[in-house]
Amino acid sequence: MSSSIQVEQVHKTFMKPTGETVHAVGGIDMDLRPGTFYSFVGPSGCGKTTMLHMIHGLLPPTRGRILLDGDEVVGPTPNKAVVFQQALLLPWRNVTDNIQFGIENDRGMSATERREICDKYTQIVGLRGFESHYPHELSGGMQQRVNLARALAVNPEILLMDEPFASLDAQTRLLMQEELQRMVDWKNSGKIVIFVTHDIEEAVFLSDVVFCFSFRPGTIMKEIKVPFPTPRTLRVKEEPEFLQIKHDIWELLADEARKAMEE
Amino acid sequence: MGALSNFYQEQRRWLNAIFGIGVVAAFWSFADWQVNSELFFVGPWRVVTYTYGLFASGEILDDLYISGIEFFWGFGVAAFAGIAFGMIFGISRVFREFFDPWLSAVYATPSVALAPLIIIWFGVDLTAKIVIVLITAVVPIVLNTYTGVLSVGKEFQTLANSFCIPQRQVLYKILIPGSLPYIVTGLRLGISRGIVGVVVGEYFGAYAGLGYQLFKGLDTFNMPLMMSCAAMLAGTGVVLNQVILVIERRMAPWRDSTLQE
Amino acid sequence: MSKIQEIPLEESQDSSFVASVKGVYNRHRIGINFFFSVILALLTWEFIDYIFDDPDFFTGPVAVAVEFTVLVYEPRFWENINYSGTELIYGFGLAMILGVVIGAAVAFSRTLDEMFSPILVGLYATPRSVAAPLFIIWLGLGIASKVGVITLASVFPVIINTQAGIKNVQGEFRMLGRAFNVSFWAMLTKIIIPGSLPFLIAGLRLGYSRSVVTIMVAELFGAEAGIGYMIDHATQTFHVAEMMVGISLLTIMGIAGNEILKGVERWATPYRKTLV
Ligand SMILES: Nc1ncnc2c1ncn2[C@@H]1O[C@H](COP(=O)(O)OP(=O)(O)OP(=O)(O)O)[C@@H](O)[C@H]1O
Ligand SMILES: [Mg+2]
Repeated sequence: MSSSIQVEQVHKTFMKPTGETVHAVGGIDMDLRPGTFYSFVGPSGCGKTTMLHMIHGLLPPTRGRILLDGDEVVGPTPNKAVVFQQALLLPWRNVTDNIQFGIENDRGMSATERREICDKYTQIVGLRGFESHYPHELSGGMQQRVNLARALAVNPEILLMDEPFASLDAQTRLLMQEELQRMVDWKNSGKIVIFVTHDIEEAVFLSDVVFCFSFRPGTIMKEIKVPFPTPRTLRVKEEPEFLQIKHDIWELLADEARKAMEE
Repeated sequence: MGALSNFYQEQRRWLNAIFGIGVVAAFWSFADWQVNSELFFVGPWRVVTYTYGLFASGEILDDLYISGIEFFWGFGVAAFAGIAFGMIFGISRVFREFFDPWLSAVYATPSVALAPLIIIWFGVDLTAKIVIVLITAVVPIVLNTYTGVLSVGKEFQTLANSFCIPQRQVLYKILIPGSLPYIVTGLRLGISRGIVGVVVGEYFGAYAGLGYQLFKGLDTFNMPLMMSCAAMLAGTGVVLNQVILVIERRMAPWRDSTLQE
Repeated sequence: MSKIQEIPLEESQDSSFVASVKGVYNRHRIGINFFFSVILALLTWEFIDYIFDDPDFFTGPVAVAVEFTVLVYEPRFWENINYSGTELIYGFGLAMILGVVIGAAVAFSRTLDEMFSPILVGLYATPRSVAAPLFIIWLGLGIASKVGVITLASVFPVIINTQAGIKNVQGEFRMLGRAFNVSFWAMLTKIIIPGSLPFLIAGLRLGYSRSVVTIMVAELFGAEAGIGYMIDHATQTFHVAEMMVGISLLTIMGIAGNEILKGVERWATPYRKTLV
């Protein structure tokens, strides 16, 4: 069970009620292979979230198409899961029930199995002891970890993550970067992971391939392969080659970020 | 002295609440003493003893029963239909845009003004009274449910969509729990309106009921009876309101504070 | 985010007739739906009248309009409107003033809050217009008793919302004010008043709708004139068309006041979206 994704000349234009249009994504091609970790980096508002949602099937492309194993993506399917940029936890469900949200409808799974999966991911994201807490009783970082666990619990072939670590503290963030590799294990399971982040170091550390987005309308300026073997340890971040890649991406994005600021 | 002020600081909430009630009762009694005529005014203690007398002699029980029946059916149907329609308005965009002007109109219409029409259509029997309670109570329930459904952000719909939750389940997994606080507010407002509906309904030809007794009191200048009926109606409102709040707290432990309406 | 609808480029570029009709509908859908909604309701109303065909039982919009053109020539009719209008202005005006004053008092003083909030919240949940007959005995059949009941009925939402509004901004922004070393006066005019305004206006709208309802209730229990009195009188004499005119008048009063308050709300708090 390993899928591949082709993104072919995808555009997305939003129209506001005022009639004003926003050209968010401007012609993107991607060929995503199983067992690979991809990152999207780029200035704020360049269409990374939009692209991610189109791959998931939450938004239709305005032009172009997205193929999953040769079939056009028309909507979300259970083999994809997304970690949203905002945690979007249901306020009326406690931690366990929020994590369970995506697997409740899986008929092939018994209640005990479900419970076990929830326990496992609660443990992994470090929320043991908070199972019966409601979202308003959790910190922002804890909420974000529930969001992560909810998507992981589905065990999807395609895992889409929109700045999942953005609201974590620096230490937890580093630990989660290492942990994620173990949790998802994309190499052996043949999963595709797409990870949106503003942290270039994080992108390089985790990815096999980094896509650098231009300013709006978002296009791919450069596709950068990261050669280090996986799983990686945090020590990789000190190697000269790592620093060089990080530096190159930084240079590339600085101009675009300036354009975004000036707008 | 220190111990006393400590005690006050610890228990000030309760002490002040009791003190507040005391102040009101004192003013009320003072006014009664000044007026000194049962034709015009009755003190708090007299209201209590008079009400007790009504119960002891059993003469009010029929009225309570009749008004209770009217309220029970009228409010029950209003709650059920109000929540259902509110949900439909909230969910269906076409339905909403089509009926929106009418919803605003209904919000602003004094629904008790329709009571005379109901009487003409349904006669003066129990059905008419129930319908009057229904139409007065249903409006805030529909409107609040509808606002509640809209307040459940679209992003939760996207979330459900993303995890492939079927539409049917979205109703009870997302929309109903998400709008529950608003539904509760609607029910609370509906209660006090429904009680007004009972009284107005009984104005138009009735043989029993708390509203009927209230009018009898007015016609016969029986001030203790009127104030006792008004107190019973008001008390019912307070008690039912508390019941709903307790149920809400049971059903919705995720909410740490009560909503302002 | 939820307000923004996305329209694929292809559709807006399509020039076929069907697409352009669709486009027009999409752009003006709220207005178009409104229009059809009103037409359909009037037709349904008239149709029911046609079915029953009994003016003692039901009258359609045409008959109501005709009745209205007859009534405008009667001085009594204008007297009724004037009477209820006066009740409304005094009753609601008093409720507004008392509501803001009491609401602010319980918001700023903790002791007053603890003493009277339980009573205020209790009274808020009670059907207060049932006190109408008491007011008639105390203040007579004239306008004073109606003003009293209307004030009593509509003051509580104003109190509760004023209090909630002030407490809300105080809680959120007291730290901000302290941090920037703001004086009490500046705090009041720059933070507390503008911040609690949305709550206050919501309270006024609730209170206003209460006021209009209470006109009807108060006048039922005995009055010398007024729209509620007119409806009651028409009921006793089975003048359904006149009843409907009265109901329509109260509805118009309700809608007009509500729209004005909505306008005030938009003007005072342009950064908030309103519902209903
Ligand atoms: N539903 C929508 N309607 C209109 N415009 C939208 C909509 N969603 C996104 N946009 C616009 O599309 C552009 C891309 O948005 P997107 O959320 O994809 O950016 P992003 O790259 O994820 O940014 P960030 O890094 O800040 O999250 C933005 O300019 C945004 O304003
Ligand atoms: Mg984004």
